[in-house]
Amino acid sequence: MNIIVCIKQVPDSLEVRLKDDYTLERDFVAQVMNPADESALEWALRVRDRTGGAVTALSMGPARAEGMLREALARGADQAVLLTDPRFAGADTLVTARCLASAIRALGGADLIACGRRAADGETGQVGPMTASMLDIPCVTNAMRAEAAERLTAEQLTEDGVTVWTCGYPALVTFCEWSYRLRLPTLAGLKKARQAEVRRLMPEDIGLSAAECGLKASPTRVRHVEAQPAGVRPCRQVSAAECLAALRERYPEAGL
Amino acid sequence: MKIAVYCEAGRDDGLALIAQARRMAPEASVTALLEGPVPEKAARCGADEILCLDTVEDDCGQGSRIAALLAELRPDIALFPATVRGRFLSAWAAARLGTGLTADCTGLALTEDGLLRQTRPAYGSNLLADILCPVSRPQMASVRPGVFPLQPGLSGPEASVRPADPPVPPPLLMLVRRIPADNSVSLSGADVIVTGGKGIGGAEGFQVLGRLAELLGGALGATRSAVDAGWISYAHQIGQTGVTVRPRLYLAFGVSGAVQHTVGMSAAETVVAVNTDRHAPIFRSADYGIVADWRETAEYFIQTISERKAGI
Repeated sequence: MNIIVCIKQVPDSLEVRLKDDYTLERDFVAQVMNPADESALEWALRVRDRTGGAVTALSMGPARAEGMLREALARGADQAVLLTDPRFAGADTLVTARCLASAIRALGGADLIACGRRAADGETGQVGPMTASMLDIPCVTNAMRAEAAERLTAEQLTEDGVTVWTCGYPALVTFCEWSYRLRLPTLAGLKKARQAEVRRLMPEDIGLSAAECGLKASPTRVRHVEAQPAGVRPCRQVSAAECLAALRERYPEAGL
Repeated sequence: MKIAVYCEAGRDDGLALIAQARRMAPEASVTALLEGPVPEKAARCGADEILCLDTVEDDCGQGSRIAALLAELRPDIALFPATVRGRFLSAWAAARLGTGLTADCTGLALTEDGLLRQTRPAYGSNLLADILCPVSRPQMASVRPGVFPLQPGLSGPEASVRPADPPVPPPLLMLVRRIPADNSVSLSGADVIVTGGKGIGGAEGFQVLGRLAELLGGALGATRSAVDAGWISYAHQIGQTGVTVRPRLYLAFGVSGAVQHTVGMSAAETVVAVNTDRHAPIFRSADYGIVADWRETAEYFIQTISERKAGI
């Protein structure tokens, strides 16, 4: 099976520093592969190992995201593609999905598309299902497990338990962070990753005009950002016994 | 102004959103896209009109049908509960409509210009962002369940009810089965919640905390790191990426207090935190702080409370 895995580079730590103009300080923060995307990549590698075919790692981001794509190659991906161009910058979820869907079409499509269920920084979880909707292919989000046999079967984690879906190909699945643990790079993989070419695509390569990409094309706008106020309760330090006594006084009916 | 609210079959989150739409825009006309059988309480939930949408067991197909309904209704605002399903349907529909969608909002208001100001946490809840969708319509948002309380018994005119049956597209997904979660007590309605974090060290720790929860007639909660470690199922997860709770008493054991967790429990009436690290951030979200080993404290609670129950 030919599988495209969409991966994103995210800050390693979610401790955010705001600059004086209230934009995010991104320059001095280590960047890593988004944890849920690691899970998607591992699933894709396992399907390929069993069925043959190729795994393509696809990302949209600044030039430095190439490092993360090389890491994906070292861990077993067959090829890597980076959508990088100033005109892509500032895209919201709708426009990010549009760029990914256009790139997937430009790459000739795939039997399966695997994504993380959400990025650790933005945490919207929207790009996967939006991409599937634009490609008009079935989509299961929040998958704990998936099996690619004659049909695809995926177990979706919900508030009420698990929902099991099946569908035909092509299909898009988004995975939870803990669903699959990404394998380590091999020596051969590291060597391959150093030499491999990371293909770069610009808007015109995926059939989009500048007006369809980036911040300009995005329907949503961030108007204000602020750090969340922390700590609102005056905490009294007590022993376990004092605590129980205080709670009994507050909640005499609670059976404490 | 026209507001559409999607209400998922068998859940109240959508009805709570209708109440919020009313509070936010008293003059607006509010249409409920209600899936499944119409519950009695829906009649006076604040909607002017209820469109009954039959359930299709293909979430992709249902997403397309909701997009078709919204294209026909042309509301200024469309709201969805940010459940796993609500988030999927809203994303699927927004992509078809080519409009903006803000995920998992914790605040909604109207600006002076009548735009929807959508407030949402990001970066593990370390930031709050205000987001607008100035031009595209509808302005779409999914809203975290539990953020807006359900209005009990609104008085007001009864909503008109009519069926909506947009055509069913060729199926993309087939439902195989639903497997219910293992927790018998619902977190969102619980009066008492006992939560374990990474500090309790393993799945066995939740057995100890489970005994305490049972003794108090409460529910068992967990932080994201405990769930990610595989110690307990996702159904127990409290916080930004789990459920938002508002119990009377919240007991946190071995919880560090990352904002991603505390946003899900900050509405609790009384919070007790147990942690060996006196500088743990959870103490800033607690009324009572016990700097001690979580297990000793939990076992002390279990013993004292059960002795008292037995009349010793």
